[in-house]
This record gives sequence, C-alpha cells and structure tokens, in this order.
Amino acid sequence: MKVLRGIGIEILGLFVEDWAFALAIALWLGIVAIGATFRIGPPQARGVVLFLGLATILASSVARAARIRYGPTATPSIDTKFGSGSE
Amino acid sequence: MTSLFASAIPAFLASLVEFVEALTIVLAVGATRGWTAAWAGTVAGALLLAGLVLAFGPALGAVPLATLQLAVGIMLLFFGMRWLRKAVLRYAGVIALHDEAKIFEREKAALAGAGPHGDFDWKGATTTFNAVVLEGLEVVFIVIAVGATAGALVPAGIGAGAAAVVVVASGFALKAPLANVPENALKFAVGVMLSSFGTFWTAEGLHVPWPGGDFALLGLVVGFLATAGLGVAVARNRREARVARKVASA
Repeated sequence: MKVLRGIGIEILGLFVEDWAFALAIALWLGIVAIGATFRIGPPQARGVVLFLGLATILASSVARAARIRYGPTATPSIDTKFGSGSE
Repeated sequence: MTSLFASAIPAFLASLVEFVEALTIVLAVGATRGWTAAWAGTVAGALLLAGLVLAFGPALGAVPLATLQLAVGIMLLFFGMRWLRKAVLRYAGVIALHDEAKIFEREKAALAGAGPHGDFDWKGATTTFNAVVLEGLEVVFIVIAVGATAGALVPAGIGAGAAAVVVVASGFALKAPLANVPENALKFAVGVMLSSFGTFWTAEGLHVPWPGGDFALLGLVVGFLATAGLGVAVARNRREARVARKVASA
C-alpha cells in the first residue's frame, strides 16, 4: 500500500507541482468545456479563449511566485534534487 | 516530414533532459558503489518501463481519437505548463537552477556513507532503479503524448531513443555528469511545445475548431513563447523590486 501510494504521488508529481496553478488550469478547462458543450460564443473564438486564459494563468502564477518566494537574503541556491518532482 | 517535426523533435529534446538526470544518478552509483549494482538497477528499471509500454501501448489504438486527443491534451497541458512555469521562474532567478554536477557530488557523498556493500549492493541497485523508472516514466509519457494523437508514435520513439543514445554515449565517454547541457533552455523550449500541443489537442478533443486549422499550432507556439518571455520579465522585476524594498527598509 505504501509503495502504491508512493507511485501515485510520483505520477501526480509529473503533472502538479503548484496546486493553485494546477487548480486554475483545471477550472479554466472546465469553463471552456462548458462553453463548448453549450455552444456559447462563436466556435472559432473558443480555442483562442482557451489559450488566452491559459496564458493569463501562467503569467499571473509566475508573478505570484516571484512576489511570495523571494526575500532579500534568499539568494537562489542550486537545486540538487532529482526525480519527477524536482525538475 | 510533418510528423518528424511534430513528434520526433519534442520527444528528443524532452527525453534528453530526462536521460541526463537519470545518467547523473547512474554515474554516481557506478563511481561509488561499483558498476554491477549500477547496471543491475538500470537494466531492471529499463525492463519495467519496456513492460509498461508493451502492456499499455497497443491499448491506445482502441481509444476513439477525440477521447485520446482530449485525455492526452489535458495531460500535456498540465505537464507542459508545469515545465514552462518552472523554467520561467528559473530564468527569472526566483528558484534555483538544476545543477547536475552538484547532484552527482551529493549522490556520491550520500552513497559512500551508506554502509557496507555486502554480496550484492541492493542500495546502489535500488538507487539506479528508482532514477531510471522515475525519469523513464516521464520519457514514456512524453513519447505517448506527442506521438499518439498525431499517429506518430514511431518518430516520437525514435526521437527518445536518439536522445538515450546521445546521452549515454556522451556520459560514458566523459565519465562525468553532463553538466553543460543547457537544461533550463531545453525545458523552456519543450514546455512551450508541450503546452502548445496540449492546448491544441484539448480544443480538438472538445470539437472546438481552430482558426487556420493545423496552422493554429504555430500561433500557439508563438503565443506561449511570448507569454513565457513576458513572465520572465515580470517575475524578474517583481523579485528585484521586492529585494530593493527590503534592502531600503533594513
């Protein structure tokens, strides 16, 4: 059971590192899927809307990370971990 | 030719990064615990991965195309955007760069103090097994993701295989970790490509038409590249502004 849990965590780590970021992507995909199902808006605009939302999520996530993570004494050290969650 | 660019090149670049990471651990185990254990763990890990591919690979053909596009597209989006976000934060200096030489030294130090070797070095073999399986799973996922929906599993597999040959040959020729591989640049480029493919296939899976058809993929690459570039600039500015404020108030 412990081994299976470990494997599950490793596989999840391939896709999710920052939960807020992953949740925002999932929410946006859900919204676009609802829009596509109920045919909201012009069809060819839906793909563009999907991209614009994802681009906004990426830009706001890195801006948020830069604001939160960095302090005056926190010189970036070297990342020396290996494995799926470290890259 | 299209499938070569659409599948083989992203698979080659992404796999290159993963193989470099796995090789670093294998070399560290080989150098400190001996090559028998290093090879045993590596071969066992590679066999497990081959078994997984053989077991689940043929099943992909039975999945309807739209379902496959949606499932792979969503996985690619999460996987690619996670890579891209991390590469952006590394370029901006917010998080640390990945350093294979330091990882090599740290693993060597940890393994050297891991007790007597015994008849068979299970510790060394387990370490390489874990590294090969973990990094290899990512390679398998990348090959399936970039190859399955375009019907180009073979070019994607060839791309990943070529990356394995290049990394293993270089690593064993140098007998040192490949510290000079521009890993963050590769991850940035692959993150852009995977995010673009993911967005494209997710929309296709939802039966959303793209303006310009398949050419929209190029637009997505440009769009994600521009967003990531903007992200680096914004993150760097925020980090510098925060540092300046704290220094001024100290």
